[in-house]
Amino acid sequence: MILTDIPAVLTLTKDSLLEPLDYTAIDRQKLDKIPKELQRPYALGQRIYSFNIVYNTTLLPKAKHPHDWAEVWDGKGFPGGRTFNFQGGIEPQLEVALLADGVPVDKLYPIDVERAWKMYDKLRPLVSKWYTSHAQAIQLIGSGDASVGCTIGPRGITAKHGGAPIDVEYNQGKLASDNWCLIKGVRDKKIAMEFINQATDPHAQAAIAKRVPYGPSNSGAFEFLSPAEAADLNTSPENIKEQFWQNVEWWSKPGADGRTPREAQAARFAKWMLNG
Amino acid sequence: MAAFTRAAGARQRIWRSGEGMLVLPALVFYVAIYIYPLSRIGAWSFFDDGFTLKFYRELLGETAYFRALGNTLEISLLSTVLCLLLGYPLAYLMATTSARARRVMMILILIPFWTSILVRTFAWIVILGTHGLVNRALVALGLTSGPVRLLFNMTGVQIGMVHVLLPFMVFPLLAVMARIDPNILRVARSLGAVPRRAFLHVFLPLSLPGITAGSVLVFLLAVGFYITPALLGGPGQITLATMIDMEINTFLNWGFAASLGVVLLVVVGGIFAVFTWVVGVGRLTGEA
Repeated sequence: MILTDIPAVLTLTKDSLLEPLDYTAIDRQKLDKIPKELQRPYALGQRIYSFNIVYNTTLLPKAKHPHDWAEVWDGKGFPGGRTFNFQGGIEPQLEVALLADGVPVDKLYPIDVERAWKMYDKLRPLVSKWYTSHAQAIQLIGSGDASVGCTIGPRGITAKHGGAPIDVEYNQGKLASDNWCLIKGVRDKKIAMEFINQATDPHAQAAIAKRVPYGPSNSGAFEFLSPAEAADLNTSPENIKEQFWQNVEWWSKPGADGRTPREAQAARFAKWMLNG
Repeated sequence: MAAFTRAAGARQRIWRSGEGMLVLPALVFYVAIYIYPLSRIGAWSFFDDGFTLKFYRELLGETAYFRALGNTLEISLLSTVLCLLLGYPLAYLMATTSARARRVMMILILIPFWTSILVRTFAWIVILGTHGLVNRALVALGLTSGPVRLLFNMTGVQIGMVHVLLPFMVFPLLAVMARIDPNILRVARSLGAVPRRAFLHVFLPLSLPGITAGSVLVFLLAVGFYITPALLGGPGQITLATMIDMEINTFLNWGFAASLGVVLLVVVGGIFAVFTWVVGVGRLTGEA
């Protein structure tokens, strides 16, 4: 049994390494409170991560910070370097690029790839470092080597709680899930499913979210969290409505050449970076 | 010629007396841990449900991989030259100074050697950052009006790599220089050579095996460097090692990653084949 992110789930599913989940083993009232997007045949969402606008509060004081991706693309209005992901198994942030270009959130999919890459061309000169891990992104933003970046919001919150000059803007964030999966041929599927049933319990998820500020997938968890605790979590009723769910199906559907957009765009990303 | 036949005779004696068997444990280890996996990697690059050249065809059809290879060689070559420029005078000083001073210098060189590369690379990020130690000092002293870009470009990569690689240049140089008889230089001086000439015509040629050994060592290590260019470099310093990492960790494309590894091996091997042919193998091993 593993808890892993969507890119890993997609890779494992493609190579038929996962066992289908048995949803009858999970209490109905729990499933009712977990978004439908997170209930997949091979993966059930447990904790939610999100790609958000994470910024340095010294260089870009609160209220004067970028409130949407278009402002992140605005190098004059919001000075300082940018940091965006490259490698590390994360696809290029094409949705974010389209939002910066003014595409409405309900028109993101199917992604207009060429339009998104044009926005990446505009982003390139603003980027002080293409980060390879999220820890590195937080380090860059905290030290001021970048004033704002696109990285995992909950990691920004952890740094903020640790005293770093960092905060997170949840508007236009891209939500995705860490998921329970069973490896094909799991020895005792029944016990594994029982564990997953326990782990998706709202009490349990609230207790975990108090320690690690990733959003609980079960919205019932917020009954056990204070408003202050909820304010920093990406799946709180306030924050979740400002964000959108990554359309995993778009990223994982093989194209004419047999490659998924995730593979094709990651390969294009590397070439774009090297040939630019 | 006489030296050659003498060496060959000694070689034969070793094998006949059975002392050659002493190499066996190392050989077994080397084959199991290095030769076998390496041949497997070579095989991966040619097979995908049967023999195929598709990985190499894909590789040759895309300029990005050649850029990554070019970046790798550029970074490695520059590191080698910088290590030589910094390492040669240092090794010379160490070889000619008192034994006590040499010991102190040796320890100073070795101390950073005992620290993990990852820790040192991260330390450079803190030191060289926009708001890091060096930039704060430069701005406070009024030497620059704003922070200088020392990170996420070639400068950062070279600072980080030369720091790691310098001992690998200094030690082979020192080993060779320490064996040069100082009397030879005195003879050169007594025959009327000015110090500069004595150095250029006597010391420098004698230290050549150290230069080649150190340069080869540094260049080979630099080619395989992964973490330092990835952390301290920018888009212009994306190496082939980075691309191999991406093919494996992002795409699980072992066959293609293997073909990139083979290309790197062949190119570096080719460079050394030409180098050895031009310089002579004796110079490389210091036997000349």
